[in-house]
Amino acid sequence: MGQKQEKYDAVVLGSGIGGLCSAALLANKGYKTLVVEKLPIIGGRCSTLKYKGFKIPTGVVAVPMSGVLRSIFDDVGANFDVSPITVPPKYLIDKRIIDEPSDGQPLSILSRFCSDEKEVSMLKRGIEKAGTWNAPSNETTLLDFLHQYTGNKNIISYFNNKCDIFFTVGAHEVSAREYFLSHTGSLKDFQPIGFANQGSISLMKALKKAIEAKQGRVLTQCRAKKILVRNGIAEGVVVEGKNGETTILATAVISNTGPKKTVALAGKEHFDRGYLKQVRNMMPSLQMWVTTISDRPLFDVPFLFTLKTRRLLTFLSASLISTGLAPEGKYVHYSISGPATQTGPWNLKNEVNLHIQDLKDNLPDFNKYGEILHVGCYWGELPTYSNTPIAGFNNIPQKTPVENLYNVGDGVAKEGGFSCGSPGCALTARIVVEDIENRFKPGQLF
Amino acid sequence: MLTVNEETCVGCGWCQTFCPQDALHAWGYLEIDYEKCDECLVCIEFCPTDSLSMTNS
Repeated sequence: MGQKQEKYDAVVLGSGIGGLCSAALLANKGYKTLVVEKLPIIGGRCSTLKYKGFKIPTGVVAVPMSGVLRSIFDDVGANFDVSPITVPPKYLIDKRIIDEPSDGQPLSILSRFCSDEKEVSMLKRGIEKAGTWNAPSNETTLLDFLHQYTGNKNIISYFNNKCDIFFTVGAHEVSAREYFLSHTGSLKDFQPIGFANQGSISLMKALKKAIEAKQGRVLTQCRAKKILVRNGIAEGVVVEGKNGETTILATAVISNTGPKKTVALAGKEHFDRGYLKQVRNMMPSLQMWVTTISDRPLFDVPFLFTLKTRRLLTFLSASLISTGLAPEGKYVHYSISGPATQTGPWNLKNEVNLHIQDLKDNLPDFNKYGEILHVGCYWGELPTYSNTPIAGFNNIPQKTPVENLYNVGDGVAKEGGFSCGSPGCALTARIVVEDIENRFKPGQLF
Repeated sequence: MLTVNEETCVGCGWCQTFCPQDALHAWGYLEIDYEKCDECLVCIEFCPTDSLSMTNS
């Protein structure tokens, strides 16, 4: 029985940041591009759920105002509807609130955690050297690095918090090399950051619009069943949509489903043992998001970083920046926590309860006026990061052993490419699209 | 009857936001209120980990 068949220059599996950025860049360059998404909504971990009139992020909540993600939006003519956060963050430590110094000097906040100026000065010099001369080994944790200069608990709690938020692992687990390379790489784009006014899904919708404006297609509820490989070369995919199965022939296949699913879809017989080992060793990470609603703001600045807590890392008063995230007169807040260790095991119910207990203990107005709307956990099959930068981890390249089969997304973040978050995913799209442009012109299959 | 695969469900709570009957509640794991669930299947469509299904019981 003959199956329906269509031809494209590129087919993209999954509509996360990596997938839609790749597709938008390719469509903009004249490549006939198709995106297939198994779910009815696009965006993956950069999407927005609507619940009882409030908007809840599925992962990405704040994005950098400049850098690789923004440049892709500019290149493809997609609307970057993001309001910058101009108010400095605050820190909560031992029930005290500490303001970020406004002197513009990096790390000047450390002096507010530690009164020994000599110790702080030595630490700053060590950090500067790691950033400008040579980053430490990938086998060293950031905590080991810090201990060369300081044992100050407040300072360590500050770095622990930063690492847990940006890398999903504490200083005692994160690769010191990834930490420093990211700070000199894409993480520096994180000043300033902003909130998408209508939730992160609006950014993904803007990319979809840009793709469709260049005759590309984005199909939802269309599931990739198999990646077709012949003689070590990817030839397309079989997808299943509302109207049954279709064979999509394509010169390039880009997977935004994560390296593990890419291997499963293509069949592991097409990959060498070394690559399979790297993919097997990927460690997904866990973070929890709690959405709290109220009739009034529960804190006075958008970003509060909570140090020395049991689990709570940050409390974002998103409505202070983007009024479109809550009904009129209402406020929405997002708080994030991570487990004590990413190697587990965890009792998720206990983890959620520790997060809530931290909110109760540290935010007086939460107890008085807050109401929990939603609790979301991201790990396992839907991880926060699929390749957590724990010391000793491997960066997996975007190119797979199968020719013309690429991965994009956080699972294949570049070294120092800020594995977590939107810039790291957008960067993988840039890298893959540049490679495709160098290798073939639009219309090769036709 | 709506069934959750506890091996693959991560407790993301997406289903809770799409359920028209407010029959689902995530708190690190998923609770199903069978009194409210009318088996409309919407949650199955939106589950990102394919952890929900209908079973005969």
